[in-house]
Amino acid sequence: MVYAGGIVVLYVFSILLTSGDGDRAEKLKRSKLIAGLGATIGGAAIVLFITLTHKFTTITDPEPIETNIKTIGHALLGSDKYGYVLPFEAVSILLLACIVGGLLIARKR
Amino acid sequence: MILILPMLSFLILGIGGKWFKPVDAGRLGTLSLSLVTLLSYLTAWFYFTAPRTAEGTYATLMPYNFTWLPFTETLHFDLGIMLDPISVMMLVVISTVSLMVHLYSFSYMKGEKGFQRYYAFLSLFTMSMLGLVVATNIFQMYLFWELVGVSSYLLIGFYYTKASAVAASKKAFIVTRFADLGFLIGILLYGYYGGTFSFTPDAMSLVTGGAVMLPLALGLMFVGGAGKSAMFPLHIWLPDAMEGPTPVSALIHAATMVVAGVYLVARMFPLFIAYAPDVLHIIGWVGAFTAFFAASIACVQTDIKRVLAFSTISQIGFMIVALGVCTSMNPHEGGLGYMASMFHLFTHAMFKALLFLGAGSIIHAVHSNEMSAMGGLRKYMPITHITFLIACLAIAGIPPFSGFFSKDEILAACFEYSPIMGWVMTIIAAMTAFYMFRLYYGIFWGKENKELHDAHTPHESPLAMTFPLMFLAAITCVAGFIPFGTLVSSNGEAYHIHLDATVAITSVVIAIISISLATWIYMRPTQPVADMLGKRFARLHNAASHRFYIDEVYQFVTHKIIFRCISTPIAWFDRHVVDGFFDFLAWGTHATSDEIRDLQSGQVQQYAFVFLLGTLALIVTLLLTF
Amino acid sequence: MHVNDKIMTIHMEYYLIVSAIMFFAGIYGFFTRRNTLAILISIELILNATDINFAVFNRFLFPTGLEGHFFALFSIAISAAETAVAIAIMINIYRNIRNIQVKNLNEMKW
Repeated sequence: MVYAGGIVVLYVFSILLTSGDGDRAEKLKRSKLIAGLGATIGGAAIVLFITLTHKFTTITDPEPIETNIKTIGHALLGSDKYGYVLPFEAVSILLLACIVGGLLIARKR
Repeated sequence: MILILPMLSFLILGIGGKWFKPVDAGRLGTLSLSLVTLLSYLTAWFYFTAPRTAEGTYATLMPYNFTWLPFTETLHFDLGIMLDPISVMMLVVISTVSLMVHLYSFSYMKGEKGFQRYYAFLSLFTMSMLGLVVATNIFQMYLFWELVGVSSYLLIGFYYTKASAVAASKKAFIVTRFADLGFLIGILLYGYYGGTFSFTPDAMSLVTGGAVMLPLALGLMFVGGAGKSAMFPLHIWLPDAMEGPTPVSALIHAATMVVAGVYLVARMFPLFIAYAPDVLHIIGWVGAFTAFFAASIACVQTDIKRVLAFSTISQIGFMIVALGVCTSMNPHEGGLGYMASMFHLFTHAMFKALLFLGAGSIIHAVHSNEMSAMGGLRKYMPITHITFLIACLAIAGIPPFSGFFSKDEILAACFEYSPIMGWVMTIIAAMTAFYMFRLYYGIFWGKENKELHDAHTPHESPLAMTFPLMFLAAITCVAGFIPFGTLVSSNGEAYHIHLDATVAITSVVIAIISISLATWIYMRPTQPVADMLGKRFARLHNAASHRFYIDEVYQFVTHKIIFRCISTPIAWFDRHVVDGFFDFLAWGTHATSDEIRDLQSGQVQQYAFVFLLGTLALIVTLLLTF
Repeated sequence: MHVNDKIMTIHMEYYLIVSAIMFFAGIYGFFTRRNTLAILISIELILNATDINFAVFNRFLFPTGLEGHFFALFSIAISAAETAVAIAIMINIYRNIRNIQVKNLNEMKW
């Protein structure tokens, strides 16, 4: 939902807004291509190497927690030891700040 | 106290000289120096009248001695004051001559620019020389040795606007410095192998192999002394050093600095006898050759001061020979030369200073150094005439003047050592008498230079100049009778001088023969015999008056060989390699910083790229180490 | 939900491979694209890859806890907020220099 509704729409609109003048993107420089490819592939190789050679000990646990919505909801808004109400509220404040900031930055003069 | 006073005077005059009126500067310098002279006389009096020690020698006193740089227990640089017979004698000599020079300069240098500077340098020089003679160990002596070199450089180049004076002072400094290199190496060798820097041999702890290296060390030290005392071939600076003011020549070249080398050998005398008697004899022969060489050049010089300069070189050769012919410490069997040398040093200082000051008086009167401007001056300058004559008689060795006694002792010592040496020295003494009287007649008798005298009639010098002349002349007359041997002798015992009749009569007779020869040749207004001799031996005459081309040899060696082959590559190396290295460093830094600057491009993608690379590198490093 | 041994479940490594590929695709896009908005999209990719990682670790290594899931949840929320602000900034920049190429945005250099 977040992504399909919010982010993608946002991007599409912003690209439309900023694309103007019919400008063509210049060709990618060769050095940049090679550097990017090299770094990417090298990094991927390293990370995959580490990941695949590491022995993850998967716990075969007798009693997993039921992950239904009720549990998630309780955990998200619970104020006991493992409750996430504080980060929840903080994120909402952050969203508020982002809205305000975005409005401020992009308002018309 | 004796040392501090001239040092203070130098500092005050040197720094505050501009604000003094010239007269005040002169008075301050002279006053401090008269105090110094008084103090040194008192010291000498107390020292020599104090009772002797058990062996009958004078005690070697060390009123101050503090360790400056300790290396091991026995090896340390000291600074202090040592009084023993020769150092006290030297104190008397130096302060007397210096005082006379101060008085004399009062009127000689009147009206010269830099009067205060002159007196400041004179004080510096006196202080350094005094410090040299009271040194307790060889390193302190070296320290003051260098100081003396510096102050003589300053004094010789006093007329710094004259190019020849500047060149002469540079030459003096460089030649003596070069000799001092040998001196320093000798000191270091001596300190290492001998284990101590002091002068007494019983305080030594020889390193193995020391006994072999010690002659080398002592020989090298003598090289240093040879430079300062103008032995062949390091004598080239002395005639050129006559560019300085004449009182300076009197102080430095007659009495004090040039005898520093002789003093050095005398100081190291016990060590020489104990460890390197052969070196001592070689030194003696070097001295003899120098004496002969200088005397032959002096016979044909026409500049008064040059004649006196070569005469100085010759007389110092005498002193060195006297030291060189000693074979033991006992004055009765072979150690006579030590006492004779010191005695000659004393008397020579007096009459040579007298000669130089007299020459200065003459130069002041006729305003020229050349003998061609003089002649017949005896009518105009009676006091100078008489004193000059006294000094000439003394240097020729005519009794009862002091020169006779001291020269006689030297000849006696030489004959004791080997007859050849004795006859060589006698011949040189004859030459000395000859050229001195040639000079005397050339100045005071002979043909007058009428045109010059009509333009500016020569007159007798003022009292400030004639007083020192008379004082020194008086000393010259009586100094012969001082029982020197009782005061200074090689092992400290009292030694009564007895005149060896054969030697004395021989020397006097030969001297009188030379004087009459000179009289016959030079006394009349015209000199037909001299001219004929000059034509017959023209080549020899030419060579001698060019000082046997030694200067040209030096010039050739330094310019063609040293400059071209050694200095130029070194200069090239310095400019290109050394400077090139630093230029390269600078260029490298510049280029590197240019490259690094590009890292801050402002491009976000580049920053992220570098960031990623860094992280990957970190991960890889961690991977590899674990 | 019981872990069924007979059915082939997807092993953990495969999830991690996927998230790694996503991550590095995002990095490649970050280095290579000239349009700033495309760079922002790549950043989104990176963030999503890390969310996958957290969820995977939570599920396979710590099934009794929910921390990883909540972390992923909050991360999504925050990256959305950050994207919004970033786009607002880009629109402002477009208004000023009429251009979105990233090579023009180099004022903060020497």
